[in-house]
Amino acid sequence: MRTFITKLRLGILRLLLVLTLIILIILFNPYDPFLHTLLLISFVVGVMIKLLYSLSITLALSLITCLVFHENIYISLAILSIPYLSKPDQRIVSNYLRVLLYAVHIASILCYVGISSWYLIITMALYVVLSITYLIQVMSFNDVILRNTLMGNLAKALVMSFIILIIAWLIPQIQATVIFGSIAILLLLTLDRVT
Amino acid sequence: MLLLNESVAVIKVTLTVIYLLTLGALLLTKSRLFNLPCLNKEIVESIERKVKRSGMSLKYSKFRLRLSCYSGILLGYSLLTITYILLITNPDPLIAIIFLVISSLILLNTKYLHKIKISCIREIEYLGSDIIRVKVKAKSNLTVRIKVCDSLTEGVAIVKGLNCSEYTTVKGGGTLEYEYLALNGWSKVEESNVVISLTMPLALHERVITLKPKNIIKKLSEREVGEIKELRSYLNIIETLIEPSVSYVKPYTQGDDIKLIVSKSLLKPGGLSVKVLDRHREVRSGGKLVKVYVVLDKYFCKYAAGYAQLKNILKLLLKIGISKVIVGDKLIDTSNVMNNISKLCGNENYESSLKALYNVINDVDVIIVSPESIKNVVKLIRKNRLRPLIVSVKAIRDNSIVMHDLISTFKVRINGFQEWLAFLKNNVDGVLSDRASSTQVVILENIYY
Repeated sequence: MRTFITKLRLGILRLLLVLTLIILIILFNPYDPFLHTLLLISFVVGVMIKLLYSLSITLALSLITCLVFHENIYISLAILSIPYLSKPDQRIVSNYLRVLLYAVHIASILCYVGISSWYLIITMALYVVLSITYLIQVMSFNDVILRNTLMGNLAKALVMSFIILIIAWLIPQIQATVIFGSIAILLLLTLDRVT
Repeated sequence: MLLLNESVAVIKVTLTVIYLLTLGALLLTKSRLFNLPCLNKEIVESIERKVKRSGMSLKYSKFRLRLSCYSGILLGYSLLTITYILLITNPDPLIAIIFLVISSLILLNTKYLHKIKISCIREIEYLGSDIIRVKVKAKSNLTVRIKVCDSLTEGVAIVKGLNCSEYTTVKGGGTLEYEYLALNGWSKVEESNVVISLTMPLALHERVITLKPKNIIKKLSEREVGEIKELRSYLNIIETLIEPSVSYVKPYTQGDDIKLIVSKSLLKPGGLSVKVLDRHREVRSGGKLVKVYVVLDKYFCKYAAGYAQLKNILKLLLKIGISKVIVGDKLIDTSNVMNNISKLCGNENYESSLKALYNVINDVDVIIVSPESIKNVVKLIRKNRLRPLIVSVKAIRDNSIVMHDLISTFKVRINGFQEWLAFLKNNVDGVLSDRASSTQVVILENIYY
């Protein structure tokens, strides 16, 4: 019975938190740096409630922010949180991911204030690499031999992506098309190999 | 500003064209995609074939099974669709970079799978009583996750262990090894193919290879196992050897017995001739020729394990000298029955086998019966004054039907199979515990299962 009441209390608390957030986002001016600070505080509070929920909270917050601000950076943040949700490793979540997520949020605030946009790009890049590395760790079932093979392939994939990015950089008018076209060609090539 | 709007419109149109072209390419390869080999599908289909032959049905979610086979392709195209939607709503390439990295990884992992070379060896050891120990060794030149499945044919029963290994990571140059015990039903382990599935996380598809492995066959010397002694003592057999008669004469070849040389041929210009003897061997019990009746039913005819057990009993009979058995209303050579069980089973009218037994029951000394019909045979005997010996076996659970992890993963329900196995067990237990009947029952057991 006691466990049930505790769970109920926690549930109500979480629901209240999410509702407050949604109301605040609707009420405030979307381009107000104060909203970002508020998001960061709510994120920290969410983490304090339970570490394991920090990921789902990040995911929800990022999706809401993306919908309100129409900012792609938040959707990528949300998508990259997915591998962490599948098998959360407490050590990685507490030591690295939490710090990195704080950094991403602070960077986004600074970016909106107009202090530095490079800081945001670097932290985002770091987050992308760390997330994909973690994804590989999850996918390799903690098997060291398999992980090493996958890491080797990841290194090659990063080189490939880098070359495509340079091509996209040379054609600034249609950057999106070049990158999307490359993804489509890569998948078609793979499919051709399979069939 | 107008120029910027135009450029955005061009980007959006180009993105849509690329996306539609990719979908078109996918639809073009649809027929090839549907025929992609998938290990899960092959395993479930092999279970289905086995179960259907025994007259039962299999229920499972075909959608879930298909989804598991195409999960990689679905992941790839989901990534492409998400990227397309995101770029259409806001053509900022930043978001696409993550998908670019993951797609490149998918390409490289799939390409990696197709670089792998696999070799396979199967060691088959005949342990006697038709039990076979099969050891499968698969070697890979590169690190990969591998699953090996052997004997997916319906004519082989697995009595201990499983014919499929678990998914295991094999290091480059390393070997995956596993073993199981099997019984040859109407097909042989050595004739079957080995199906190997190679997977890599984030690859577009598993690579399934079907190959004929190199068989290394070892046969242990056939020793008289407990079963034969048991059967012999029950029958109180007196073996009589009738004086051999000359069947025919053939030219002498090296190794022929000198005693068998035809003496008159010594003087013939055509060279030496030797006699070939016709050896008669009859088994009599208490002075009377032993008559053995074989009751054919679903367990012996359609269930690979039962089929193998019947073959083994017939082999035992041959060893103790019973060269003819009665099947239905015909007296047939035991070896002939052994080689043509499927033909003799014929149509599925197994009732006739019991009816024919009813007509000849007073002349029969031994009845070979499966756990399925043992109760009916005991009932039939009770009505008669004579008490022939009943020889039966313990029902074997075919692990290749019930033990696969796929059964729980895809919630495969085999209608009536477990109930049928329980019915077979109850039949044997019931007959053994029935002390009221004075029938003699021998249940042959094997130490290996």
